[in-house]
Amino acid sequence: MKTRHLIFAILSILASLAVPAIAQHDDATTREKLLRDQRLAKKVSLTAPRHSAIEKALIRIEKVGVTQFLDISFGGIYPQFGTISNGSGLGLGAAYGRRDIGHPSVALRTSAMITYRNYQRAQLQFGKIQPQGNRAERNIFYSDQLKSNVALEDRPDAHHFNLFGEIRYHRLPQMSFFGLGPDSLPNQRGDFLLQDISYELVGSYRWNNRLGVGLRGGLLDVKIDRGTKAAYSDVQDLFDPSQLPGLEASKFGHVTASSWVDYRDHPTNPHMGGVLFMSASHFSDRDLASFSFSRVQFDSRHYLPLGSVQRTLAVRLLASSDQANSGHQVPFFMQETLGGSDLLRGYPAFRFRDENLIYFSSEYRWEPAPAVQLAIFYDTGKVFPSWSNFELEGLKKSIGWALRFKTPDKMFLRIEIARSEEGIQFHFKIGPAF
Amino acid sequence: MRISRQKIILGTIIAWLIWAVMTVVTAEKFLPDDPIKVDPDHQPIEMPTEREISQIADFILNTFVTRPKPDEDPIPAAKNVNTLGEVPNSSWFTNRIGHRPMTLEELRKGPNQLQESEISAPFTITSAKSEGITPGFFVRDAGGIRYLFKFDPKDYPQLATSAEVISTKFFYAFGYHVPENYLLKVKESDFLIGSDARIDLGGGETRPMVSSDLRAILDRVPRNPNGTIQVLASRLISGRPVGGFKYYGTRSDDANDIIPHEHRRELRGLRVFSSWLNHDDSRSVNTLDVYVGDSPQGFIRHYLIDFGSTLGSGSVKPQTKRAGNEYMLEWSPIFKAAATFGIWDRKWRSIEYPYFPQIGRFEAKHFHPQHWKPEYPNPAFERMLPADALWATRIVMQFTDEMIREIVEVGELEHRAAETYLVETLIRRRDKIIQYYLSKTNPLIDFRLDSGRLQFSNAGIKEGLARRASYRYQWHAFDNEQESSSPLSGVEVTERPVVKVPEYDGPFLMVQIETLNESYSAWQEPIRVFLRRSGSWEIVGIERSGEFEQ
Repeated sequence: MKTRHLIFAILSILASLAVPAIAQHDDATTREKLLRDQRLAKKVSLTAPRHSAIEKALIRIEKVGVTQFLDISFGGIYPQFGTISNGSGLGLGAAYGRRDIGHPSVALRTSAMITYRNYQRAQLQFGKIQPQGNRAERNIFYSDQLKSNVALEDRPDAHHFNLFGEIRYHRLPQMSFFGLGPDSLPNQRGDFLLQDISYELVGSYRWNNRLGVGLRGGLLDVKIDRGTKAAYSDVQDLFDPSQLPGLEASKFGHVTASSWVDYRDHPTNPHMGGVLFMSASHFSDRDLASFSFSRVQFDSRHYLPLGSVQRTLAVRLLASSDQANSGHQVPFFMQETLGGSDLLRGYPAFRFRDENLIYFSSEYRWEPAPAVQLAIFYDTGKVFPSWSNFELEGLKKSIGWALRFKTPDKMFLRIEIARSEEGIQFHFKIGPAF
Repeated sequence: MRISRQKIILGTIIAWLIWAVMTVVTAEKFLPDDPIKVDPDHQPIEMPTEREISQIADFILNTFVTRPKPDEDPIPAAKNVNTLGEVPNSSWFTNRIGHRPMTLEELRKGPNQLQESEISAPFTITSAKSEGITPGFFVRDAGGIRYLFKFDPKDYPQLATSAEVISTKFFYAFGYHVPENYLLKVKESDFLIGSDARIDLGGGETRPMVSSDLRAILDRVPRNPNGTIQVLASRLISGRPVGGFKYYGTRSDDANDIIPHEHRRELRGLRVFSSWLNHDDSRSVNTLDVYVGDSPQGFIRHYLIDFGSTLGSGSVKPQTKRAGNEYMLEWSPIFKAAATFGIWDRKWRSIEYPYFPQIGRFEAKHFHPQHWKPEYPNPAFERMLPADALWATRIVMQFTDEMIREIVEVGELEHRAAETYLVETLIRRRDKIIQYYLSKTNPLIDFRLDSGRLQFSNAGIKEGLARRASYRYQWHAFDNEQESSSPLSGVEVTERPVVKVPEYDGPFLMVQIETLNESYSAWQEPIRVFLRRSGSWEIVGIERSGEFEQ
């Protein structure tokens, strides 16, 4: 054994012997001192709290709100993405809004969007406008569903009275057309380009959250041209002009009166109650005087909880009827349609088109979690030329399954698969079901 | 510089010697100043920077990451208790009703330093938010004191403000640091708009506040029949806010914070209090660390804040039925409901609540202390052991019916039946908590020495769980350095909660006691009571099952 090892061993033994004695006489060692010492030890190695990049982003979202976080605003202009209509594909756009123009409730709102299929939309509103959803919804979830949205929103700060002017422009270059009537063939698919611009004045009044009326009127300038989808022939090559009434029509004056009774428990996430919506419109052909018509529409939606708010039976009945003026016809591009993600989901968008429509949909919905809704659904309906020869035979049917995501306030995403005699349709849709 | 081998060896030996001394010294189970009454966690530190906590990240972490792991089995005993199993006073907690009787006046007063009459108009608004369903103002009263004014949702007068002021009194009495919350009745004309006041329009938009904004906001809050508005005035906490605390880990910038929060008894036991008051929002976002004093001489004090979502209130509407019954994300019920087309349903959905807009959803019939849940898993709650629960239950036991009634009265509920219902519900929930937790562990408490006898109380019998019990005990000599014990006598049984201290010359004694009752097997879990000779014997330690190896 080397000397230093020997010294080490001896000192170790001495130390071992000395420890109990030292310990016994260390009156200064107390719990308080121990705790102080532990804190002093930590004090020399303090570090500032660190956040991961994800946590930093989350903090910012919570601090400024999703709205502001997602607001990639350039001088008040902010981006949007969403769809323009059934079959438009996803698009990008920009919007600008300004509140408090001379009065807290007067606002200006304008937006434009283009999709990868070159669908285009532009809109300008000015006046006393119903408050919109938050900016995140406008940025991310914009979807022009051509809905009568004067009534069907649920915001505590919603105005009782709205009055605004609106200019809208659409360019929809790949509108599907399978022919008119309930017996159109799936393989006879063409397309056309629909371009329109409207100038409207919109007024609405709601007495309370349950009852309201609205009036919308203005001018509509329409242009039909050749569709751009390479896979399909243009409708003018595929159909006889007699099957395409209104092909040359271009200018309409129109007015729509509507009213609604809304007794849903939560309009944007209903589990019980219902809503009745009725409207009457008149479109006057100011160009050719051959395509004037009136339309009456009735939309009824009811929600029945099945022993629990977790389970809901939702039903919808939609009926629409056009009545052309004497000697006039209803333009084909303005006729009601079935098919697509909202009506008769087992068929492609705009699959059936005619002057009259009846549609019934029922869904059994259940919510395994507050943010998730599952549903199985059954849709049936048909289009037909006139009520005089309406019969229930020949109703088109589809069944399907849905997975939907929602907040406590509203549905924001739905993924649906539906089957019909013509095959299977998948729908990935931003926005609510009925 | 070259260091010789001898110096290295010598240094090593000295370091080892110091370590050995420390080891031996700290290996003593009981130190001279045990049991400590105060945790010296007020050591001066430099003011840390504000730590922000993401609610979403907190939800994700606590749902998926911080839950007890398999290697934590068994879950360790709480680490911040003294040798009697009590929580010493600290920057986290001040023993109040658990240690001394509180008068009704003290309970009514709670943390408040002022009388409501001392908070006088005009209330100058310094900022406001218009977004959301219930608005809020930061104001300065005539005396220059700053408050956050909170209001009730339009259709539910008194719902959130009364719940918050009532719960504040309870949490203060438990021992937590809470803000001063006052219930005021104000008039619209009491408000002035400050010259720099801006209104938050949401989405990051602000603009100078004008009188029409004030009217618009006050139109959205409920009015009393005489036109006044009930307001919760929360006095801004003195000191510098440095963010909330998390329910796990420690603050890396606070030298005083050495006990992982999930192992703090007052945070584990908070689960019991939260279940009683249905404080489902008991999460990091509703906590606040405040730097007290001037840097670098100050320290951090830890607060619980925002009790708007307690009792039957969900702050902006009545509490949801899920609250207290299921986490926001809980896989088992999701899969069950999904797989059965919703035919399988949560039992809590069928709970019927009496309709009191002032109270919301709060009930006692279906309430079960063990099954109660906060919004998402809380790492401290998840680690609550029977000893932690008993500590909290003993505090809950201090609240008499009269005290509960007195505290509920500070909510000034206009509807007499609602107030009565709230009092009765709190009493029934209290009783359920006491019955449940006392049945889950040995319920012996209040150990004391008197005339050479160790006396104690059986809380289970006191609270009516059983009519009688017997006690099996054995005395041991205890070696404080070695932490070992050796029996002094055989096992004995007594029918009365008192045992004679044996004649013994050594410095420490330990008696292990089991409670025998055929209805409660958990009562048999042993408790160890340690006595130290300090002139006469004194109780120096109490350990309950789960706090020592058996």
